[in-house]
Amino acid sequence: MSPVHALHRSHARLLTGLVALIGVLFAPLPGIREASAEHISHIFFAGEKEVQAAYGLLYVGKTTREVPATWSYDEDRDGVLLSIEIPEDLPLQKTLVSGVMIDGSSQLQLSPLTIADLSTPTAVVPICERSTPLDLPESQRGLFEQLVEIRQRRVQVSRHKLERMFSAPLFERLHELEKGFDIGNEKPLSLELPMSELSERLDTLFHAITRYEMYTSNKQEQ
Amino acid sequence: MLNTVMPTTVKRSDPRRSLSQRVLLGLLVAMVSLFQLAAEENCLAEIRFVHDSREVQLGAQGTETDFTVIVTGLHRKDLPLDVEMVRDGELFPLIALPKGYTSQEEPIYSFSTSAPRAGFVYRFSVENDAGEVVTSEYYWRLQHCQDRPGALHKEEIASNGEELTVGELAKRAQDLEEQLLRQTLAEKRLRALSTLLRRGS
Repeated sequence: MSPVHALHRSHARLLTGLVALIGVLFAPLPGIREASAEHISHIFFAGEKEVQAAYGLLYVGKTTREVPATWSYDEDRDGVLLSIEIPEDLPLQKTLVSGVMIDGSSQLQLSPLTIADLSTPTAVVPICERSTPLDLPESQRGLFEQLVEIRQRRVQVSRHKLERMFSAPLFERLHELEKGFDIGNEKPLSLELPMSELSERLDTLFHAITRYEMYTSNKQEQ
Repeated sequence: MLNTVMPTTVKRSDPRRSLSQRVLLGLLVAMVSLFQLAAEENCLAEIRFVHDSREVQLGAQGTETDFTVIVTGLHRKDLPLDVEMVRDGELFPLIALPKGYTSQEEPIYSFSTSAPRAGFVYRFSVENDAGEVVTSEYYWRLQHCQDRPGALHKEEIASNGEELTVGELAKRAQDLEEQLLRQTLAEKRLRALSTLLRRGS
């Protein structure tokens, strides 16, 4: 290869590299692209089926804006999904959204506030598919049978502990407190509830009482 | 008496020694100024919430989830931290107290709550020295997928006695572990609530 030809090739390589670099440096950032694109926030109302009217409330700083919303019933999630369009001029991270709807029984329902760039988790997290069991060798059957047996015993021991702690007056009192703090639901607390619901309700009540105690003791100190 | 003039001896100072003394004095003054400046900056330091939501380990719904946040720039180290927590769209505020301190004496707040079906959205707030509320950005942590509403967890369905494959046995062992974690949190909260009620009555 002649020296002139080699020089041309190296120049061509340099030029290609420079063009690629300029392309990378000046390419629009994904965040900027998203911010300028139309954005829709999804708000979910669990357990609802019918909607008479719905709209979204947007809070930016001290201003509030009302925008129209569309809705649909989501069978998989068993609830109403509100879609609220966020106007392009609003900053997604600084805009709070709340869904408002009048349900089938003419009750006004207001969803908790959420930031505009994140929809209600229950509205966006996919429903779990039925998982197919792993294909494990038959030689491991004994080990897994033992593991299941041990864990079944541990679950039983833990369940007995809960039953010993359980008393009807205690659960009634806790349910009254739930009503007082406006948390939980109409179903009374009992060990018959699904364990995920029971642990969640006891946890929420525990935090509500702890917070209340903290503030009342601070006030008394002042 | 008191006005007695004490005899003093005047020594001629060594010019080299005098210069080194001046340099030392200068250095000392500079160091004191730097310390003062640092102390002032510390008082007015910006409050920052050091937290990474990706480090929050989300277990199955109803199991215990731990959160940790370090607050820098606080002058008072014993202040409570307010947490605005939204679990599956339901708001419930909670409060956390410092559980420890970093080597720089910054308070480490930790608290736990029950894992959501779909996800958490949350933010922190604390009072600064001027009594103003300083609030963090919003954080979120989502599950990979959520169970259908009303679906019973596998371990709560009575076993029908049929022969399970090894893969199904492995899944059953995992479901039992999740159930155990849910019961453990329920037991922990029930114990704490009983204590709180006894103290309150």
